[in-house]
Amino acid sequence: MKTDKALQKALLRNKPELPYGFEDRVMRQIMLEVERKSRLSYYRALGLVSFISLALIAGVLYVLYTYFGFNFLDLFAGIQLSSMDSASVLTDHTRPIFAFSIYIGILMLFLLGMDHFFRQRFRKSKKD
Amino acid sequence: MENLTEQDLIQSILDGNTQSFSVLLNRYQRPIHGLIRQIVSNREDAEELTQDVFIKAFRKLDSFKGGSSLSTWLYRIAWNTAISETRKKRLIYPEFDENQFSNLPDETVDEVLEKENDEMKLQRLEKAIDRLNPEEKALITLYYTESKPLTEVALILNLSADNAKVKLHRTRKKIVLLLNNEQR
Repeated sequence: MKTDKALQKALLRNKPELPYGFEDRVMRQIMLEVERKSRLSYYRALGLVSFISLALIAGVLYVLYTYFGFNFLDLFAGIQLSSMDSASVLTDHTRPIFAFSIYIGILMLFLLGMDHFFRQRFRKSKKD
Repeated sequence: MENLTEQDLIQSILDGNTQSFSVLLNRYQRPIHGLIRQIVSNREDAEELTQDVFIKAFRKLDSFKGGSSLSTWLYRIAWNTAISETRKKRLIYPEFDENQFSNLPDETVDEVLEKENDEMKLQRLEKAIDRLNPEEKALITLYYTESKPLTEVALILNLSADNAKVKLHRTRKKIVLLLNNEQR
């Protein structure tokens, strides 16, 4: 192919210039994109953890119901919300569900505490 | 950081060093903008599309496998972004029939496109380039101003190497036909 000097010159004559601050503007957009990406990955992880947790709970309920004949609805059947004095609420029938709820509550607080503790340690080690 | 190789630069960005992207931006913003500006004509649109190209590149950088050079990959993004924009506008470009192409001798084309001593002629050439379709504009911009080999131009524009060669040959003839048409 020929060099086509005239054509080349015509193309190069009005080579456009980018406006002042273009690079900064793009870098700002890139930073926003980084933030968006990290937010997105956080929500994805949260969604995944929620889904797995719900699936595990559903699995446990299914196993308990199918293989052990344990029906959670039976536990709630004895609760009467109209009368709030502890003697009538805490019957032999309802005591296990309260014990179970307290156990789950303590377990949750323990896990949240552990999560907080390890997050702090992770952040500290990342800073160092 | 300016002396980083393409591969090191990409790895650095992928490792979370976002500031390395400014090196890539600095290296390629002018040629990418030059190509887009030639295709879309409008200054504001060209700036916005150039920005879009780099944001797209940043988003997809992890999918860059190194099958081509980084510049070819960026030019491909630029070409696809610019051509999508021009398709929205549905502009009509002048076309010539086959006889007009075959009746124009190659020697005449060589002569017209080679001699550069006339200011009027350069202005007319600019006008003729302006009337080419986006693919023809991209083809000559990459080949003449960015000095890309035809194989790379073909890769960027998603053409076969032979097709790119034929299209470049026809584009040169079309420019001369546009110049002749203007003279009449």
